[in-house]
Amino acid sequence: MKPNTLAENEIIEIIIYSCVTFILMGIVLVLFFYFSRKKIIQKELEKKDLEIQYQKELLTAVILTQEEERKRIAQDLHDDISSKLNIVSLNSHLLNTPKLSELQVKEITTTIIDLTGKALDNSRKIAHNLLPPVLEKFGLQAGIEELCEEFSSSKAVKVNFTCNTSFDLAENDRHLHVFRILQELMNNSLRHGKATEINLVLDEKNGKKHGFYTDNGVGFDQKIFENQKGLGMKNIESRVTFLNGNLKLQSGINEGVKVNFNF
Amino acid sequence: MITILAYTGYFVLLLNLILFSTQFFKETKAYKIFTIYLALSCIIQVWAEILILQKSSNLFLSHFYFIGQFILLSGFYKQILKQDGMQNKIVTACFVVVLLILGVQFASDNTLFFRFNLLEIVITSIVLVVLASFHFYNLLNEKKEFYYVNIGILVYLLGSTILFLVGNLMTSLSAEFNKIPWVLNSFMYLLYQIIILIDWKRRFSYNEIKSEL
Repeated sequence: MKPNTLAENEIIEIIIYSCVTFILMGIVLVLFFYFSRKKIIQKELEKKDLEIQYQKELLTAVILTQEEERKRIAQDLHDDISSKLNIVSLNSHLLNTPKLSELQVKEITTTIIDLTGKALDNSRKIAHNLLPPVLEKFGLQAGIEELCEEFSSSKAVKVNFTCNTSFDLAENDRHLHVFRILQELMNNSLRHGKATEINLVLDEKNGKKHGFYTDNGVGFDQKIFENQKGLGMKNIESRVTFLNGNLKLQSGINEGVKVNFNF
Repeated sequence: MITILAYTGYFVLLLNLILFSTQFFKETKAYKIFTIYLALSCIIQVWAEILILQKSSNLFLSHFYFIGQFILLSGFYKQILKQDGMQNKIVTACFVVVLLILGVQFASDNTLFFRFNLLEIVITSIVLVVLASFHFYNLLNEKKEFYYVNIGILVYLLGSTILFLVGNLMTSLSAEFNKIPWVLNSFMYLLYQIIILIDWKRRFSYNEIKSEL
C-alpha cells in the first residue's frame, strides 16, 4: 500500500483536525498565560496593600507614641517643676512684704533654696529620662549598664547583663534605638510580665550584632498577641526595621518572654 | 528497539499501578480515581498484547482507551479542582457535552469503531489539556499536589494527540517507516509513566516528612 492510495478526503480530514488541535492548544496556552498573569498581578497588589496597611499602622503608632511622650513630659514638668517654682515665686513675693523679722526672712529663704534645689534636681531627672547623658558620653554599653542598675535598684527585678562586643561611639544614633528597645522590653517585663529576673546578652556574629533578651515573667499567648500588638511593641518593631534588623519574639503563658534581635 | 521501549513503558506502568495501589485505601478520592486510570491503562495494554498474539485487530481498543481515559481523568480533575466555582462547572459541562457528541457520532456511523476516530481523539485530549491547565493555574499559589502527574498528562497528551491523529495515515505507510511514530509514542509513554512514578515518590516522601513532624 502506498500513501496515495489513502482517500484524499481522509488526508484532508487529518490535516484539518491537526490544524484545529494546534490552534485550540495554542488558545489554551495563551488563555492560561493571560489568566496567570492576571492572578499574579492581583496577588502582588494584595501584598503591596498589606505593606501599605502595615506602614500606616506603624505611622499611627509613631504619632501616638509621640503624643503620649509629650503628655508625659508635660505632666512631669507640671508636677515636678512648675508646682515647685510656683511656691518659690510666692515665697519671693513674701520677701517683699515690709517689716519682716530676721527669723521669718531666714525661714522664707530656706524654703526658696530648698525648693529651687528640688526643682533643679527634678529637671535633671526629667532630662536624664529623656536622654541619658551616660549613653551620649560613654556609649551604649555604659548606657545599658546604667539602665540595668536602675531597674535592679528597684529591688523588684534582678537584671543580668553580659556584653561580648563593643560599640562605636560614632554609631550612637543607631545605638539610641537599641537602648530604647531594651528600655521598652524591660518596662514591659516589669509592668506586664511581673518578672523577677531578666537576662540580657549582646553578641557579635559575622559583623552583625545580636541581642538575646529573656525574662521569667508570666508571658502571654502568642496567637492573641499577634493580633493586638500594643503601642510599645509596634514601636520596638519600627525601631528594629529602622536598624535593618530582625526581631523574633517567643512567648507562652507562664513561659516568660524570649526576644532575639539583630542590628 | 521499539519492543524494549514499549515493554519498559509497560513495566513502569505496572510498577506505578502496584505502588499507587499500596496506598489506595489511605488516600483521597482523586488518588483513587487516578489509580483506577492506571489500572485501566494496564488492562487495555494487556488486552492489546493478547489481541496481537491472536493476530486480530486491536484498533477498537483505542476507543476504550480514549473514552476511558477521558472519563477517569475528568473525574480526577473534578476532584482536585476547586469544588465550588466556575472550574468545576466547566468540568461537568465538558464531560456531558463530549460524551453526548461522541455518543451521537458513534450511533450515526458504526464503521468508526474499527479505525481511529479523529474527533474523539481531538475533543477528549483538548478537554483534558484545558483541565490540566486549570490545575496549573490553581497551583500558582497553592500547595503543589499532583504537580508532576499534571505535567505528565499535559506533555503526553499534547504529543500523543498528534501521533494518533495521523494514526490512520500510518497504516498506509510502508512497513519500513510505519514503526517510527510508535517508537516516538512508546518513548513518550515511558516518559509519562516515569513522571507519574516521580510524583508518587514525592508524595510518599512528603507524607513521611509530615508524619515525622
